[in-house]
Amino acid sequence: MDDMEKHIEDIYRALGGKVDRDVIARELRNWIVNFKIPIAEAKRSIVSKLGGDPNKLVGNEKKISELEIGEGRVDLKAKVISINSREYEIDGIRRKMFYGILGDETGTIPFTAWRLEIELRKGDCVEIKNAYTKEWQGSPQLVIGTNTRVSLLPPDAVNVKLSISPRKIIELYPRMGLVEVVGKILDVQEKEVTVDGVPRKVFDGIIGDDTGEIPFTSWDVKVKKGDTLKISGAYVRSFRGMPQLVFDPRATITPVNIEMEIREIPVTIESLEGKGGYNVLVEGVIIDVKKGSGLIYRCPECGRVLTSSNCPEHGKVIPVPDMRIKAILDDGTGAMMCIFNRKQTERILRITMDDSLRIVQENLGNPIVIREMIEEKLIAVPMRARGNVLSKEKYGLTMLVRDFEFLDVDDIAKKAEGMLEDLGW
Amino acid sequence: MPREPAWRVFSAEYNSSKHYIKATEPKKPSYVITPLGAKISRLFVVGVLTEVRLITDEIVKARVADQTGAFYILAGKFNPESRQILECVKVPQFLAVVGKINVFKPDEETMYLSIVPERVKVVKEVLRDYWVFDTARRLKIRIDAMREALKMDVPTVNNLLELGFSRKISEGVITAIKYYEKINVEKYMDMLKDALKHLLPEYKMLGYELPTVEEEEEEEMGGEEEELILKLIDELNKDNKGASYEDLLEKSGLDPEKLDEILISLQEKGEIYEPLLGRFKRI
Repeated sequence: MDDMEKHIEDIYRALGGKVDRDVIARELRNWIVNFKIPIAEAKRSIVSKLGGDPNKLVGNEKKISELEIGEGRVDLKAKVISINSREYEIDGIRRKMFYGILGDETGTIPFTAWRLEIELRKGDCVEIKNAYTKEWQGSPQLVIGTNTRVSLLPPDAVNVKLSISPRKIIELYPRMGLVEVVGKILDVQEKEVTVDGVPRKVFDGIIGDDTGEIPFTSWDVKVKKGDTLKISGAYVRSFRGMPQLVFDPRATITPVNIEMEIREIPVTIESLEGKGGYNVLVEGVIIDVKKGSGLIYRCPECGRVLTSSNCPEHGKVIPVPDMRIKAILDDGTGAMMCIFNRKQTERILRITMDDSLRIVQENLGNPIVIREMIEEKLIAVPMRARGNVLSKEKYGLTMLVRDFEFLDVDDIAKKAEGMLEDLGW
Repeated sequence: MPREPAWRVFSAEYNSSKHYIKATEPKKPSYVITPLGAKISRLFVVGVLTEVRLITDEIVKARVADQTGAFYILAGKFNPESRQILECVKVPQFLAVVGKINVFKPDEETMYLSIVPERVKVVKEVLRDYWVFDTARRLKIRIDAMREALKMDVPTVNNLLELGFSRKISEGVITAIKYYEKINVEKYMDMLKDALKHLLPEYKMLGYELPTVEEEEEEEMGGEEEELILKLIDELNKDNKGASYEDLLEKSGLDPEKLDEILISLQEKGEIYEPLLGRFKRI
């Protein structure tokens, strides 16, 4: 179908089939060829002239590359490049929202759907009517709202031009579209799963570059530990509160022969907001120590922290002592909760749990004395901490500390001199 | 919702802020916008505690100085732990403070800024030095972002993001440009260099100029006024019952607030005492 025929069809449909196609064709040629009226304007005028409602024209159909932030009514034909779901709760009712990436011949766009009438899968081609766009990470995002209609098109009705942007691992954000990453496979495990009755191979692991690390999932593409690869056409999803890289045979994967140094420079906490991170290094100052730090008691059955000898799940129990610290680490760009386990708490306090049990006993059983010791050791003290950072909408960022070290602050003069030199002093 | 970061800014930048975004909803933070675009609701400061004063029975006011000036710390009945520490420590002392912004705006033109502490801790000198360095490098980023923004025909958040500045910095700088007519970036550059120089060993030997010149004058003024009140207390001490508050107010010509301040200060120093309510005598 050439363009002219498509426009005639649009007008024919807008008029509800009441006007003959030949009549429409004659009108259209007249407006366009003789009067040189732009096509959109001509179509509206013809529908109006022939007694129809111009709003019924599918005039809002756009290509992805034309979409801007804040468009109110968008019609689109696109292919689902990736789709994921997330459960959320409103007024006590659990609902499911979907997010992913759509593509057409002009580009790709992330989308969010608060409700979907039909089940969509990766690779489906769809017609979307009356969606809208909003800002997300500085770029447009398509929102499928309650007034949006989504219908399936025949397979391969839409060709996708993959706009693949090269990215460093620290820049990877869930839903950012297709990306190209050069990184080293730091760890990988193979497993088999069955999807719709078909057995498939999955490779789960960690990939890193000079800016950071990220977990990945590869479908049917074998990767080996130690390989340095260029992966073009992967996408990023959010998995357990952290970004994850996902790719399959449609991605182009080529080995590259470069020495990849894995990043040892800390990232800013701001850069982790809203996405979390895998095995990240952060440098900041502890500015608060929260309640529930120090000597705590847990249910021996479920590990829940107890304030009495009654576990809500297991009733009367003999609580077992444990130690931990919940502290706020802040680097001036953002803040996050850091959780230190028993061993790390003992290292910070330089006493064992038995020591602290004795100290609490000497203080008439008041465990706050241990928290005060922690505050004395940690508050205002700069440190580097490494671990997985989880991002949860309600609580913000939480790091499960894997390792930490107190910063050496004795060479500040040297650092100051270095900075002054950089400033041309 | 992410927790508000504790900004690192020097006192001169904080205190020269003239714009304030008040929270429109309960539980949402209010912000001070500094001339370089730090959008602050919480701060982390390490400096030298130079002065602690009881303003009322419940409020303690303290000064924490850095190389550019001083932060005012106000601890009231909602900050009992911080207040207690401030009341007990001797000055001078290296002190770390985590706190929320506090704004007093008597009229359109004037804005007094202080910090209401969430945490106060006596620390070692090295932590102050680390804070100065950390604050200097954060300041450098804001200076860079502001310079770039001022070069643009139409500065926008997106343009700054494209240059690699973070979202908070980009948004803050664009907000500051909207609010402040003139932003003297070079002044802050000098401040940055000065602050860093104080960390070098050869400068450290010279010691710090604390409190700064401006404040020294203020202090002397206070001294003169205290002398005057002491003299008046002697003169007005009829029947050895002590000078009455009303007489002191009339003869000194000071406003009641100032007089209260001086009387409190003299009592603290152990120069005078209050044998009867509203009567003051030399010790």
